[in-house]
Amino acid sequence: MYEVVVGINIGIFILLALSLNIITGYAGQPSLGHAAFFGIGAYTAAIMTAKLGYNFWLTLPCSAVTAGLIGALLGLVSLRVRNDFLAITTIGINFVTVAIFQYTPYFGASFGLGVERPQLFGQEMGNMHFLVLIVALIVLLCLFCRRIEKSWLGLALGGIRNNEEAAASIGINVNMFKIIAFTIGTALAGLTGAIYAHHMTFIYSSDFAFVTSISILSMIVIGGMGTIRGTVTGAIILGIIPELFRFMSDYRMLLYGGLLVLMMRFQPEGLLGDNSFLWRQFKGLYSRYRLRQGLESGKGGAASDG
Amino acid sequence: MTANSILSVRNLQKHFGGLKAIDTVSFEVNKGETLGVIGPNGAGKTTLFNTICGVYEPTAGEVLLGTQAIHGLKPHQIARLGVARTFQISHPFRDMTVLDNVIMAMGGSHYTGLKGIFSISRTHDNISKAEALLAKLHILAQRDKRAGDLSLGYMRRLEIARALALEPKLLLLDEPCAGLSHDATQEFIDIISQLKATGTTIMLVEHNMAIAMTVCDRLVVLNYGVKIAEGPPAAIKNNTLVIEAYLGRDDDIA
Repeated sequence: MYEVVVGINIGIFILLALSLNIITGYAGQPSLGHAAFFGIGAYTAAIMTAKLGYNFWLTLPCSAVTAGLIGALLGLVSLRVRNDFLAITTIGINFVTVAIFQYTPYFGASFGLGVERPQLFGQEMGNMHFLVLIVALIVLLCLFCRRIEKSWLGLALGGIRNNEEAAASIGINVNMFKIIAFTIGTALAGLTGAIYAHHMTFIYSSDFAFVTSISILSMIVIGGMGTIRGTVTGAIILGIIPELFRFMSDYRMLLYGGLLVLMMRFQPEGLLGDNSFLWRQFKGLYSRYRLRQGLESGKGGAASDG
Repeated sequence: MTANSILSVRNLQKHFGGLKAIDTVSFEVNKGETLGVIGPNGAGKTTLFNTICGVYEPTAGEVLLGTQAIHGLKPHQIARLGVARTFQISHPFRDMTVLDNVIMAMGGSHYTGLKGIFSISRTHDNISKAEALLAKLHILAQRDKRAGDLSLGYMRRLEIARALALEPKLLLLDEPCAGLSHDATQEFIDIISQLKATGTTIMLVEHNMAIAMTVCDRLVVLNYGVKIAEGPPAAIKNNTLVIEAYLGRDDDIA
């Protein structure tokens, strides 16, 4: 049972990391406030089911749309402020959002919001059901990200990440694609929030604080920004560490911070990023394996010729 | 406007506060020709480029591509209409492969609409088109390298390949030889001659008079934002205003 709960927590982090990767990894726009959109999704869903009596499954698209619309506004802001200033702006958005949750009575203020576990075929959804739902969403999201990488959208976002002026000079509408990236990324965080709220059955404003944003960003930086494999690996590693080192849970942020500094110093591409040490080794091994296979099948061919 | 004019710039002005970076400049670029824009440092050459490409909005005046007015449009719109450019300081998409850098410029109408942006970009067709362009610029061997790892000369070539991938009506080159060695410059002159031979219309900003004289059919000379001369290289070489702009007047020296 414990393993299932850990699996759900890690799965939620994978979803969040993959969604941030679209904004920060693909489009290169720094966001230090991703947890705000996770929270907007969670609160939207909680209010819909606990206060308005809607069905859980309906909250998934609604939370995504709400977070995505507010994310599109952040996208509009990103057209005006860039780089460091955008990062600071996103921090501000995170604090403002948390403050709104914390001080508005309708959002439960400092008491938080309680939600009931949703029903599935007349039965309350258990942890196992949530795990299956989350794993299914991870698979879908990975396929979606893969599609982005292969499509014109992926190339356009890559252009913006590298050089906005040059991207515009080859016909890429920089403003539009920035807003698209923010909208998709924040909508997916909102969707994850809806699942989180119904799995936890209780949400509180501090769940979505700045610290959570930093954790999500650390995951993609440590794993390898801009890649699906790196993002997922980073989320798994940073998701498991606190479980393994429960005895030092007070020092979790210290651990994350230390890891970040080490990564920046020795492996800025992340563990499995495109130009990282591990990934280069892996590619080298793979091409040697392919070469050997090619030689062996070549030998086989020659023998049959003789 | 002559019948075969591709770009006409009419009374173009670009002011930055009180500074008239471009002051009422007019000229035409004809189909198939290579027009050079020369002038001393700070003459407004790059500002002229940026104003044509939509990076800056003109203070006054018109820019026509064929018969269509393009002043006031955004850079990506002007690019899609067929004006491709390179930058004085190379701007490759550094963490992407050389091949991807070129394919990216072939998106065109795919960069609008949900169906377009989610359709596959690296199709066999697009890959072979991009490879042909890389071969044309002699950088096919660098195909899978990260663009940021290229040498300056290769980056410049990549930028030209990328610009050509737009299938432009007009190619704007901003000092393509700046910072290159003598040999690399010579190779670049060959590349530009090759492009001319295939009928590409080129507008070239050049600081170096010798290069401009060699590759350009016609020259426009700017000084302090004003057009001071226009004509074939031979005539420009002996124009007193031009010589004064570059070297100063006799009584300055005396």
